[in-house]
Amino acid sequence: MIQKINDFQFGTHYHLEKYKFDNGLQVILFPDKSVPVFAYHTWFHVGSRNEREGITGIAHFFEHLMFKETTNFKEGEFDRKLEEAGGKINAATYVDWTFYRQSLPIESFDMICELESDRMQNVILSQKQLDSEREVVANERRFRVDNNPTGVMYEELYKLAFTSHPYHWPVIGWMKDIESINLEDCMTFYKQFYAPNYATIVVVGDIDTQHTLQTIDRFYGKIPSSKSTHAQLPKEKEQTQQKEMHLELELSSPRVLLGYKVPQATHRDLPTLELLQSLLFQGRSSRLYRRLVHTDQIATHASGWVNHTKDPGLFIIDVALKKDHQCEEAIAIIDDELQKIVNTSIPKEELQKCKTKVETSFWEQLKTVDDKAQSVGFHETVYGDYRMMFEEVHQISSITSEQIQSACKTYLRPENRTIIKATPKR
Amino acid sequence: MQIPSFQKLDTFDTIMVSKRDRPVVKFVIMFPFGAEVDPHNQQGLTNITGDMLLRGTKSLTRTEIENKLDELGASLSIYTGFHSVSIEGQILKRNFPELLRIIQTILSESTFDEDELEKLKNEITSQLRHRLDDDQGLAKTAFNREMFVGHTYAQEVMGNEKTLSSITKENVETHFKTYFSSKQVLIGLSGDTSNAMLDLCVMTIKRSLPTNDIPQPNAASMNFPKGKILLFVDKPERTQTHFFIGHPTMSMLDPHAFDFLVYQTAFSGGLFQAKYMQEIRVKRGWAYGAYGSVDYRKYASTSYLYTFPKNVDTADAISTSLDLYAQAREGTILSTSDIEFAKHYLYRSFPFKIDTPGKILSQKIHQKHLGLPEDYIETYRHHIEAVQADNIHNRISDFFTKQDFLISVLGSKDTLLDQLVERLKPDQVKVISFEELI
Repeated sequence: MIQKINDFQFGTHYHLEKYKFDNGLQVILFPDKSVPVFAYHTWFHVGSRNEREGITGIAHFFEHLMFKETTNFKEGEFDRKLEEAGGKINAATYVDWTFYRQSLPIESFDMICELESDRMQNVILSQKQLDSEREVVANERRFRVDNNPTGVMYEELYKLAFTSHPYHWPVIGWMKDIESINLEDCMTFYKQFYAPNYATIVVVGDIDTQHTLQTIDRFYGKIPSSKSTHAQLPKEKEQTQQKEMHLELELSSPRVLLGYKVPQATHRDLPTLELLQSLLFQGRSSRLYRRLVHTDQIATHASGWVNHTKDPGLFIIDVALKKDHQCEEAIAIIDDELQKIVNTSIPKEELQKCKTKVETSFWEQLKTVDDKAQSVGFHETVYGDYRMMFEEVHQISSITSEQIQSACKTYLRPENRTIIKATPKR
Repeated sequence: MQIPSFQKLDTFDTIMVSKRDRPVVKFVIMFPFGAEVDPHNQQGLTNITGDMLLRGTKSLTRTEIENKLDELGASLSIYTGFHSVSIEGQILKRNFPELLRIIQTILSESTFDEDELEKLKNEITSQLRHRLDDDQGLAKTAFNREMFVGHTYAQEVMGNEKTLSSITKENVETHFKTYFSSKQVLIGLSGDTSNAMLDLCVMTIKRSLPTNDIPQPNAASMNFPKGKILLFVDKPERTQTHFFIGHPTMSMLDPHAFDFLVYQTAFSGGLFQAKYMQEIRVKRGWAYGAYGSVDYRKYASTSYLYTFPKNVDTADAISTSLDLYAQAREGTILSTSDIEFAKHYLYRSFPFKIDTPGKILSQKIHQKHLGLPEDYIETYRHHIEAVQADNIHNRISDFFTKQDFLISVLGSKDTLLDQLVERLKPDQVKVISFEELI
């Protein structure tokens, strides 16, 4: 049985439909007939949030193992078939999700359904596979973190900001855990999370709805669901004082990260925080970018973004300073600009400018079939409803100066932040 | 999607790729000169001249320009390459005419303010310094410097601290007057566009700039390194290295360029199934990524392999890479089915080269820039289909060098250098500090 959950029209070009199968599998279809290709994304509702100390990194590790042998396809056959078909293949893991993405010519639709449904149930987990991939993952960690100052700083930021929630540990995992994850851990993880009731398939492109649903049903319909678990994750205590750490790294000049605790993606204040981010960092005329890089000229780079997560996350500010300047100078300017926002109403023109920039960014994420699938999959997985990607733009258009000021006062205050200061090794 | 051709409008080469599903327009205005015209000891002058266009005009301050662009929801950047300068970005369709007014202002009224020039030089110097944090980028920079020593391609488009310090307001003004002409400017639009918008764009450029001829640069000769050269970039406390191994190779205009494209794709083209990825990552687990690529340039192209193993695997990984190169040249590493596989991939993935109007625009401009035939994209699949494994085997010696390899390694000298020298037995060893690369 396939149940239609909803459909959604946006403008004249975009029409989406969401379906649910008996085994819990969700499917979202987004036809785009302008090119003879399609994107096929499988979003699993599992990420590093579903790990524990001792097996940190297993969600990401598993992303690697999913490209290995299955009972029906030898090692390498998955990649080989897709690449021979002209496909682009990749995968990614984060705190709340893991997703597998392919973009393919339309002729390959049945093939990708067969391959993806196969590896959802038939991956062969062996010690040999585990050990060979362990070294690749360890090397990825050396590349992304151990030999990369940016990686070190972000790892330390989350480690310090979150003390009890799983966002505390890095998605790639601690090296000691990467080295010790065992076969049993992997089997348990696979059995639990790689099941239709933990997955949402997003298909965007030159598709026929009827054929697409029938084909997905043919390949996935009989896969049993796993027993859903809703483990209560530890809640972070409210942060009441500023946390701070200083690192000496192999850097050319100082750099500072500030992470302010903000609510989960579905919270009503998130669109306001998104607009606040635009006011501070989007474009050369944004307040903090201009002040840090152009007016006071203490930084070469200044950016900020809201990390949209299932549980409360961070509003991150990242400033790369010029070599003769100190992290404290940047922090003082940030505090000054934030205080100005709290104290003074934002001019109407400036507010409109930010809304226009957000509108442009919205269209930016809808360029290719792959972009569209990613946006839909992300919103469905993190927000629980893909329609939020369209709704958020609408919400932002009506946000007022008072709302931004209030959000700034509530969330971007010193006692609610974690600071990582990094200076060059002497 | 239809692939359009370039059209002459007035004196301009123009191209427009329309698709109306998003109310966004991408624009490119490209000038036919780049960092290659930088005077000796003033590397970075072209780049700085381009950037100064956004730093103030007679009627708009820099702040006002930035405010206006952000109000319009526009992104506008000026990119300098070795052979071109382009003004490009994107904007909501409804604001396009207003954007053109800003472009007209910056092209016809820029003041090249002295204070802004000093600020910009300072900013670029800081950006160059930040590059010291990027190990992969440093290994690649070292590779290019050594490969093209004495040629523009060895330089940074942004210049360096010393050359930047010598650039004055007068230099910038003269450079602008000399080179920023409407002659041979290329204009491209994609997205939610119309003929009226293209006409308006042409009119704007015509009104903004004079039509003077621009001096042609003298192409410097190339003296590629000979023998096996180990260039070691020393950076302390690395637990991992980044290395590039490569040599000069054929241009995209070569009659056998498609044979090479197919062979290179099968050997190291960034696919999981490519031989290099299989040997380095899949079989040996030495690195998370291992791939090769070709940097196609107007005067000389280079082919290289790149990976990033941990220290103890570095000598083995370089040695294996050199063995793989030798096998590739001998034609013993790839079977006919490997070559057919690469052909299928290139043929069938072609729709992804043209699945957005922006990509078609970029492809068309890139091919014109490199002097490729006008129908390069249209005939791409035909050329791929025509590649025959037998012909490739007769041409392999043109694709890869036998002995002239440049090996650029970023790592910690104390841990690795002796070991690498002993293992690789290079004809020449050069050691530089990573800090010399800015």
